[in-house]
Amino acid sequence: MTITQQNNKKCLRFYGLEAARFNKGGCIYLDSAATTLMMINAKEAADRFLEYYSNVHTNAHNKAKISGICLEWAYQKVTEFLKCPETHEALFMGSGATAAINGFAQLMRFNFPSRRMVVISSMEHHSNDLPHRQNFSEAVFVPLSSKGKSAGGIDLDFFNNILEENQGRVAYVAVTGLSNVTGVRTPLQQICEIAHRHDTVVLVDGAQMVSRTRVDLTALGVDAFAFSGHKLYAPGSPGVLAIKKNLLEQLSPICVGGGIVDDVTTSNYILSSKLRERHQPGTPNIYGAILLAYAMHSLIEYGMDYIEEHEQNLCDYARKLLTQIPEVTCYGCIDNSAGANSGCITFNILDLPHELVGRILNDHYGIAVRNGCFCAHPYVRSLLQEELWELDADPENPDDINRIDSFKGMVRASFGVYTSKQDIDALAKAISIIVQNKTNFLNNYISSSIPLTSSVSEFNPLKLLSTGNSQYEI
Amino acid sequence: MRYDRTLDTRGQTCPLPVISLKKMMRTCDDNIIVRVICADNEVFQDILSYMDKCGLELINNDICADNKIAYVQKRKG
Repeated sequence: MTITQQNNKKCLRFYGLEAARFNKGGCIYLDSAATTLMMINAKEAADRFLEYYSNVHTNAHNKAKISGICLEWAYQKVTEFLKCPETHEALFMGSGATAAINGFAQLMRFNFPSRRMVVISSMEHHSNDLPHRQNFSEAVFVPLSSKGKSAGGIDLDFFNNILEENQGRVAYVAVTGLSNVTGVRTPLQQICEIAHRHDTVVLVDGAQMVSRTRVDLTALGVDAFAFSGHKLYAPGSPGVLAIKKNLLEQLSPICVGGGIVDDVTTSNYILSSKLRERHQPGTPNIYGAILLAYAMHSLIEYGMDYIEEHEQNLCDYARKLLTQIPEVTCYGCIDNSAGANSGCITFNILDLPHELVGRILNDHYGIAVRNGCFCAHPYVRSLLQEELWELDADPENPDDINRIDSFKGMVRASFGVYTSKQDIDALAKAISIIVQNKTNFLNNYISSSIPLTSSVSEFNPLKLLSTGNSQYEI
Repeated sequence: MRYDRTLDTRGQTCPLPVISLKKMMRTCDDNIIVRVICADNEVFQDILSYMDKCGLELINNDICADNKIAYVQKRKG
């Protein structure tokens, strides 16, 4: 499928969006917060690079030189995309933001051993929570500014006070740029100003933010920014940590090996004089990094301003439609009072378990959403808490406990650059029908665990090897 | 601290401690004090949030063998 930016006529193409891709009437992909679909523009360019592919770290032959040039271009493209070429370095780390955040936590623990406290927002994905708990003896969580299903951002007064009381003890602050649960955006500039005033650096989980908004790390003052390439239309690309040069200069590497040294003897080794090289031992994911850079380049050409507006409009539109449907509860700051939401909408239908809603949307309407707690259990728990308290249940009855468990989660529809208002219309229409026929759906699914329309359980990966065609029929 | 009944929420996960408290308080007279044993601070905070919302009063609190204890009574007046 091709999408065209109307102002500059730039086109982006994606795998997996073709209508009627599945036998039973198409697939509307509303799960981009989990992973975005592959951008064909980037994939084709990266595949052409494979003609020149070789390992880097040498100038002995042409393939290595070309690979080195392309990898260097990829590093530069990342800092260009994040608008921080003068202030930050980009490091490719592992398979996603999780690896980059773990790496940052380990670096900070290793290099600042006297700072044993981290301050974490209560809206975080586990990937921007558990690495900090594991590496630091004290983790303080900044509470939400309000309670209940409409809870929005974090309590900035608490945040300021905790940093003031613990100045000199806090290794860093960890916040999301944009929540993967509610799409609430964090006031990063304000957070950075407060943190810096109290001699603390800020790590931002940019996994959701990076594909949905313009990011200007220099202007925001963000010290470290982690994201995943697979959430930027480039599955298979690495995680990225963009980190301020003046912070990186203070950090000794935590992982060592080939490629990070200028000289090694049996009694000593001298780290590379190049800042970035010191922290990336071993052969990098060269193909993945270049794939990511092509995706970023294509997005820059398409226009991140346009994409930000598009994502924001989709979110507003989805909220407008879904909040009008009776018995549907939407979560997060749905009136934008904590700042603009973007990227996703989360909801539940009264008396229908979230998992069942996800299955019905898939089986009957070809709509791919995600359900559960989205690896952000504390935040989801805060949003659902009061609703769950109202359930009429006997805590001693196993059936009641199972029933309560089935309501501990939400349904999330999340968007990408390829999502259209027609997709949101289809979602809203499907939800309206589900609400109207709730009892029927509930009875059908309770009596049969088998999806009603299509089954992909027989999918054989080997068939893809022989078709040579992405249009695989299930 | 004097109390009349005990609710042990250890082993229960959210939202069961609050639902258990809600169920017990329905059967309590106004002057009954319930001792709620919470396995951790998170459950304790949930109990406090619910009390705040539903007209219950925290008479006292305590820590006993790593458990947090809330003494709860219906709010008078």
